[in-house]
Amino acid sequence: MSLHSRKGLLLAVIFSALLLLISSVGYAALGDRNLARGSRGPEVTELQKRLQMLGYVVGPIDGIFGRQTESAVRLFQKEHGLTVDGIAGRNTIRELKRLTGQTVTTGGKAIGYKSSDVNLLARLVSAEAKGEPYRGQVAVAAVVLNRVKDPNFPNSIPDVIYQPGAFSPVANGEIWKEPVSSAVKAANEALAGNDPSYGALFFFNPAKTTNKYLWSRPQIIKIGNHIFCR
Amino acid sequence: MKNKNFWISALAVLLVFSLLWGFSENRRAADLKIATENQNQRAFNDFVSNLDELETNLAKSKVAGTPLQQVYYLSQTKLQSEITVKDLSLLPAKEFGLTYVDQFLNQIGEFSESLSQQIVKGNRPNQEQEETLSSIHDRLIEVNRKIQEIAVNLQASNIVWVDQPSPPWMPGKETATAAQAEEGEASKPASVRSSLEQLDASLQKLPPLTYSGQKDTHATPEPLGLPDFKVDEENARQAAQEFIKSIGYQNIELKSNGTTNGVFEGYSFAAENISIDVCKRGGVITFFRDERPLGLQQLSAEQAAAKAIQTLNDMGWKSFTATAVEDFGGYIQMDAVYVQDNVRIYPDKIHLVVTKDNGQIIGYNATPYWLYHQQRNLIPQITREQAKSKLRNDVQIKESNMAVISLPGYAEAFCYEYRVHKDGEDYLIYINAQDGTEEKIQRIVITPRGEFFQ
Repeated sequence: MSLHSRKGLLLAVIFSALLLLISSVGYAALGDRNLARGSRGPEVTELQKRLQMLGYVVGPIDGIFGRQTESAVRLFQKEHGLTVDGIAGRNTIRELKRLTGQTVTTGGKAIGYKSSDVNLLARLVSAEAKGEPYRGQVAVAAVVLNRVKDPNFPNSIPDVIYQPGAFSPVANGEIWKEPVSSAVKAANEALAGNDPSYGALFFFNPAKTTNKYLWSRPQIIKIGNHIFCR
Repeated sequence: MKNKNFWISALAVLLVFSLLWGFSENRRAADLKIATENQNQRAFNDFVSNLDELETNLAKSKVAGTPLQQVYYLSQTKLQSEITVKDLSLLPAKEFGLTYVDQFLNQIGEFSESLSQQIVKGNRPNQEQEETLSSIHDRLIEVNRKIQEIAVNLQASNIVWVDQPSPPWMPGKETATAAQAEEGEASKPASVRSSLEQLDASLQKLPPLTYSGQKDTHATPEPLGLPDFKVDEENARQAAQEFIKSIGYQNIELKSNGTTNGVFEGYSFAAENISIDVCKRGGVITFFRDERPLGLQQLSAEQAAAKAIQTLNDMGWKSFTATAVEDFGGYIQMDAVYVQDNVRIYPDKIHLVVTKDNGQIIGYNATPYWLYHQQRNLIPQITREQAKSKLRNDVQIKESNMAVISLPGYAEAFCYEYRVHKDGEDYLIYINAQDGTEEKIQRIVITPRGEFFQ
């Protein structure tokens, strides 16, 4: 092999390595191309992660745009006023990226997601009131926040939720399931100060509860299957 | 014969396997038990030592000679009280928490916080407050003593954390409960939890602690803004019907959907996607929610907010401004805040959810407005220049307004509001317009949904 051809080979190798690098970098950026049923790759993984952050069920995060990812994209589009086509195009991805971004200072410095309280609250709402009307889901989140403010209860969202004996989904592990998207929405609404329960501290399902203490509390309102009381 | 041997050896293999499995499960269960026990022991020991420290700090705050020292010990007391509430919430329990112990510890924190804020503003505690501090301390000593007693019992004998129901083959082994404390029986409690419950019951028997500036233990006070007349169900229905008409629904017939109790006692109505509550007092709308599907985004967050303010205006809610706008994609959440003589009245707010397809209000909660709205006399005692001189020299003022803000314990303060810039960040600083004290500082951050005040 001549020196010349060896040099050429080396150049070719370097060139193709560079090409591969560029293409893989480009490949990894979410938003460069439309993602649809059948798409694969790291950007699909990112899409799935971000959808899951907002409570959309995507199944396993495997980088494969399958049936579940498509229905998650459709639901996301429907709930965010976007054209519902099941394709993660530019608008859908821009909205998704915006809503799952980090909080920044007014100077633009990133200071983290600041979403752990929302997530925990959403998990509780999801486990306690998944099938309830949306108003009832906001009310369950509001009960937690009302307890945080009440002197008879602990002073933070995790302390109230994990208080022993306070919520059955904590005792039976239901709280570890991913929250549904309406629960994430409900948690955000309650955190913004909306309380459809008028200051309730407890809630229960009258068909399932015989607890005398709960029944003895002054009742405020019935929403769906839950009675909310003080 | 051959067959029989085969079965015997198969069973033997199975037996060995199940023994091994049982053994490993047993080991795992034992490990878990130790881990849980360690967690519980740690939470309890933390509680005991933090409570002791709380008591010590409170004692020192009583004798501190300089305001600075007193503020320091009161702040420590406040912090320590929060930690003990947290420790308590980690202890195992079967049902709800210990309301009276929690309440007492939270009250210590609240009282010491408000007292230290008062001292910071230059007002030393008065006679009455000194006495309150002493009586809180006396109570705390008793609680601390009781907790130490439980700790000693825990060290001396292996008492259990929570009473377990006695198994059916051992009937009649009753466990001690809080009820016994009330009956005055001095039997030795069987578990840590029941000892704590006894303590809780004994605190319940003491007269309630009262002090000025305390939070009501009921989360919602008597509404200040509700009109005095009452309406019947038919009038309420008309009010609700009118409300949804001004929101943009012409031909929807509302059906009765029960009543609500409490401070906003009222009638509930519903239609397809809509639920709406009307207060008996004054026939005002307290809550409205429309769960209709969202259409395609047409408006920006600002446009949607402006549209909502316009809708409010058309309904007769004049003089409101949009604050705390959060963009959730298909809809926004915002507060419409009442403005009186160019002063933003933050407590008098209506929480709104507004769509970005056509700017329709789909969520409305006016309870904060009706709770806090009142006649306010807004005459500042200090000038804008005087207030400005209270700010640091090295902040850059970007905006200044006047505002009424809410303080802990349902109090309010009439303030100058400055949006200032320092080290690449914006803050809101509130200077009291009556006495020039710095009431509150808020840091402005930008979440994915918009500006947020921390």
